Amino acid sequence: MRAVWDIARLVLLEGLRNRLHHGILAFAALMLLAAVALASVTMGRTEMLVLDLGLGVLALFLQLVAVVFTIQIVQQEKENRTLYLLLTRLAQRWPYMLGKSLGVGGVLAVQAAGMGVLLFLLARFFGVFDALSYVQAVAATFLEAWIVAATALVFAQSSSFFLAVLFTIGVDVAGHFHSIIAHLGARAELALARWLAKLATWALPDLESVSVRDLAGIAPLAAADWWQLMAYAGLTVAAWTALAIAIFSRRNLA
Amino acid sequence: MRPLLRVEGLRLSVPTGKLHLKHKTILHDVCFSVPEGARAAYLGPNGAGKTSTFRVLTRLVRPDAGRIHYRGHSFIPPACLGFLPEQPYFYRHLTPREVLSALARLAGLRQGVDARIAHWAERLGVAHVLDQRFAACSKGQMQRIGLVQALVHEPEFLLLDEPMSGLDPLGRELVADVLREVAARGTTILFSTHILSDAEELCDHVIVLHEGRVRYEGTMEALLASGRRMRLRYRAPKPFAAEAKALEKGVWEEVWPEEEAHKRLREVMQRGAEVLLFAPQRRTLEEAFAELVGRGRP
Repeated sequence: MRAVWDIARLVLLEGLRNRLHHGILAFAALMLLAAVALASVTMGRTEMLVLDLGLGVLALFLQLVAVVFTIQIVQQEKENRTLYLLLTRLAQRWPYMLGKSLGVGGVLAVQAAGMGVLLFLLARFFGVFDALSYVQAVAATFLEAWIVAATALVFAQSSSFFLAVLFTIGVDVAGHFHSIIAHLGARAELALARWLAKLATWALPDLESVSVRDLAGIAPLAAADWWQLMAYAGLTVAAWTALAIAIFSRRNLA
Repeated sequence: MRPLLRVEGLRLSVPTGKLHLKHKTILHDVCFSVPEGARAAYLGPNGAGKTSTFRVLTRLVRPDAGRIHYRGHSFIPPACLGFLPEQPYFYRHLTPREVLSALARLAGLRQGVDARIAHWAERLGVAHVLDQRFAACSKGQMQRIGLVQALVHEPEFLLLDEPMSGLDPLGRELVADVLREVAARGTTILFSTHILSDAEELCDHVIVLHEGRVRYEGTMEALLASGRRMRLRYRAPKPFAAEAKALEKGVWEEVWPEEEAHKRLREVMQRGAEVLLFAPQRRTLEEAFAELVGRGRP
């Protein structure tokens, strides 16, 4: 497991020092300020509007980082041959991919925490809200992005950058319509359509159930529901990472 | 000497074509061995399959057929291997110290990591860049840091793909010194290079690969002595062969394969010429290489 942490640490350091991320963070901060400006001139509870808009911005940017950064680190590592330096030191390949997954998770966690604190302070300036539900919403948004990153790990290995981004965004979008796909499948007349919908709901991550942003500032999730959400997100990340490991372990790195 | 690494019947093909449906064989039953403690050069023209062989040896690529034997293992155990890929590149936003210590830990080194990094970085002249980001390092510095990472855990087998690439003459000399130093301590080295003079100077064992096939495997001495030619220098008013080269007025020199040279010597002496020199001419590695691969240069 030491090897996993060493690789995760490299990913984390590289991610946090990457200028692209600094740019994305700066842009996200600007968007948060724009959200505040917009909310302050709108009628209603300003702090809640700030939270709504701000969490939307946070989710958007975290998912952008999850997709672009994950695919970039996997593909650049092969192009630049840094991958060879790491793999020739490992008896097996799985620690490499697991380290990547944890490293990307670390980058997302740091960014979620940074943007989350900034948004909290901005919203708090306008009024009082339920802090626990807000923390849960930020944590869930991070988990949602980590799931997307884990799917990106799978697609990053087997295709070009553009295709990998396309496939990952496809899974991301479809994952947010999980219940609609299930509902449409249940109502479909064709057996094949029902079967396909079932397959899709089984294979796609249920990102809808991970998202609790609509409860932010209002009321926290019950403990049991929260742990269930965490367990589902953790298992989904683990399953997609395992799939990435299985593919990567069989690949020829010519 | 006992072989440390033995490669038997290595065959590797790669997919080609737009749909990757065709296959091109790039290694054809490659067999060779590297004796323990040897400094072996793995030579071949571009596209001969040197880097592909290294990728198989480092388990980055699975061969279609063939076996590797290394101290009873079917692969080179990571703790025993120091590998330098061709033109190494590192994480732009990290510093050499961060990457080297992570790589040393990955190789199983637990104690004295910093001291080892400092030692090898000093030895290879990159101690002053250890704490600056890779983005600010030159190509030559990257190459030297690449060597530091291969040496830092002091492995018993070094596999180096073009270790002299991107280095200035002083850098090449320094790297050659370091390789001699580690070889003197018993480390076995297998390296590929296009700079044949470096290989000739450094190596005692040679493997020549051409179009995916091993054309020569053996000691450097045997390769340079094989197909030995003799120089015959004599004084005579006229040369006795069209190939004779005039060295000065009335002094001629002919070079013949060893088996014909003695016959020519007798003829020259019978014709009354004064023989000034009859000595073997040692081939250079470049000449031997050109003969083995038939055309071009590596």
